[in-house]
Amino acid sequence: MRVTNRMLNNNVIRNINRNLEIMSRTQEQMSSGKAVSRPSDDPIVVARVLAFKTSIAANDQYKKNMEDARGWLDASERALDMATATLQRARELAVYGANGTMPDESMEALAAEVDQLIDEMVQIGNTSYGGRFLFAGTDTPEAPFERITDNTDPEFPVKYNGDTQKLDWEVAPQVTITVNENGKYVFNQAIDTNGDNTADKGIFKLLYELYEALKNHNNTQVSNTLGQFDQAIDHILDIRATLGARSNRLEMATSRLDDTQIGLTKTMSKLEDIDLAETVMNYKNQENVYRASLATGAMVLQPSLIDYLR
Amino acid sequence: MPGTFFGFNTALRGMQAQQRGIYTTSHNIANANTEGYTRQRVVLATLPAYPVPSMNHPGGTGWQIGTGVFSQETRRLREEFLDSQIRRETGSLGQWEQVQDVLKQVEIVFNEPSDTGFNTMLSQFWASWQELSKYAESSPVRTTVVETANALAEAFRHSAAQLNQIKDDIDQTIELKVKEVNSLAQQVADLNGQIKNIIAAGDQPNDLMDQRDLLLDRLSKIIDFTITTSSNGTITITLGGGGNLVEGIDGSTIHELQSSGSAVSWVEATQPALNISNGELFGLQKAKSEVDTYLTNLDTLAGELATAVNNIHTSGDDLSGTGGENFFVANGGGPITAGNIQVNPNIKTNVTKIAAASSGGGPGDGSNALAIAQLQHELIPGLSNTTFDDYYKNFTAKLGVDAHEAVRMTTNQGVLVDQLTNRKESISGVSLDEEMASMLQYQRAYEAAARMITTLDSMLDKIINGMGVTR
Repeated sequence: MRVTNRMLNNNVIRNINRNLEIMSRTQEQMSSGKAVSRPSDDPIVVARVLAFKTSIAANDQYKKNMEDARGWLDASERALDMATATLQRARELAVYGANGTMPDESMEALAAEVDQLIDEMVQIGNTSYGGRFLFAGTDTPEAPFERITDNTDPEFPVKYNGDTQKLDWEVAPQVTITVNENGKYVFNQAIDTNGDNTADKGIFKLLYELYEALKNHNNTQVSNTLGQFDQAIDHILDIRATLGARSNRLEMATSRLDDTQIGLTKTMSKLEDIDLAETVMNYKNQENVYRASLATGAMVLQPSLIDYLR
Repeated sequence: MPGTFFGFNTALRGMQAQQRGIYTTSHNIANANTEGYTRQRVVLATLPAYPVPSMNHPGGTGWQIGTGVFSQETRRLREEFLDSQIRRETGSLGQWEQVQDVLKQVEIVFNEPSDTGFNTMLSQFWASWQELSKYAESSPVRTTVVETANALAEAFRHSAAQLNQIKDDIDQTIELKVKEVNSLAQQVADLNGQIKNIIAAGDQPNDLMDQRDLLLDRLSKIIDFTITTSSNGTITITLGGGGNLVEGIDGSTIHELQSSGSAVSWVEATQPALNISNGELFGLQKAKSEVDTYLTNLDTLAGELATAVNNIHTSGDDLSGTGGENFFVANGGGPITAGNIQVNPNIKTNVTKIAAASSGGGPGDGSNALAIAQLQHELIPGLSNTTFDDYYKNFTAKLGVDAHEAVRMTTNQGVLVDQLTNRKESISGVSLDEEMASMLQYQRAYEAAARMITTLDSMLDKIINGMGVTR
């Protein structure tokens, strides 16, 4: 083939340009730390990276949801722990009060304490977590329990202002978990008095009955509440167990999700991030090639017949 | 016997021919770097021989004597087949370069993978509804939802605006390219006229033909055409569809093109319909239709997202227990597209109007917000049964594949054109070594012919001054 000066020139320029282009691509990778910076760099890798990013972001959110749900469940559990303690104290007082030899003044002192316990139970029912009332159903900004004096009200002595709706949070795609137990169920449907498997009596009513019985020095009536206290304590314990189980389940799911996240992040990093050592080595190679193309250019372009004709 | 002074003419012609050769060499060297220049070579031929009459052969059949050299023509060394190949491939190169250029811009619009692209914004959008599903009564969380949705809507509008800008730029580029075609056609027509005159006068307008070929090379990058050469040296340029851009025979008539948007047509309605199938104009038209596709995809995504969110949002209750309004609305009315999507201004100014609760739910009820968040994993019929995230990823992947193909095709075409250009250069290019060698060759031949005159002169000197002179 006939080779002209312009061909040599063009080849040298083309090679230098190509080598520079490759170098600039590697430079871009080194400075961004990413193997791909636009979809056309590698459409498949980019599509996968985007999918990973979406999954990681969604999982992060689910993790947050689970942590928040655990916070809520644990707070409810703690509140019900206090409710159990209160009920047990009330039961103790009932045991004292059932003793027929107790003097009247002592019975009245016991009644006064039970009255305090009712207030405490109202406080427990109004436990708030992060400014939201745990046992108010979905009416979270409002304190659900309120002590009332009107004894003709069917809800006397404590009125429930919340609703019975659930708070369902998503912890995995299409998987929701109920984080709340509404106050009506927890406090007002605790005792089944007639054995029909429907809880028809609440804790506040029971406490008030005890208060009344103690106040009226009625040992028999006091003693009648004992079995109902057992039922109420069991009811609360059942709920605590459910809450605890849910919280445990979330704890396990969270740690499983952590593992998944690590896996996803690792894979994404493999796809997306450069191996710096490798890239630097590539760059050095490319730089050498570039230098070689410059040197070759300098050698090729110099001589011509003109140099030898004198 | 030839005449006494016969040799002088032969020698003189030799000197003249070599001189012409050296001028051509000089022309070649001078134009070694001229774009489009084709090296030229003087074609030398012997002159008709002089039949020497002799005693027994008065008609001159006895012996012949050469009368020297003449330069037949100065020829361009060029292979026309390569020209047509190069023009076709240059057209393809031009086409893919334009597509690549446009798609690279589209890639910048979508800016993936990054922490600021749609992918991330969509994730943040879903996450904000998830948060709201947990803290439905919280005003800061509500504000976050509005702000995140607002950012997403802004991203939609911004991307749509940018894609529209790219489309406008394409139209403008097409307009400029059409002007260039018209201007190139005019220049070819002018050269046609000059070439016709020179050929009619019996000369060879090599440099003008080089110029015309160079114009055709430039034209081939913009639009595809075929050329026919007529015997008077003019060329006709015929575009796809059959209309002539430049009429060859009379040389200087051209038919202009015009553009409207991305459509290109003849100015004269009588011309056959134009059918562009290669070159930058074709690439630009193709690229514009691709941009249109992405814009349509984006519109679909925005429209479907808005509809799905609105459907759920309007079924829920806001913080005051009132039914929800549309969450997304179209700025200026009409159907919601990527270009006009915005968060309902009523909601923007009053975040309590976000309907996080399902109908009848309390202030802490986030089940409607959860239903919206759960749209993330729902298959949307209007998006060919993909999720919003996947639909976006699919068209990003398509953009990547398209742009990748354009880059690959541009590189390949570039290599092909380079190779063909090298082959052309190998035939038509000036080699300085070669020119120096032929310079010496011509120089020596010139010197020898001149020496011939000296020799003849000294021979004549013998005859005129030396013969029959006695002292």
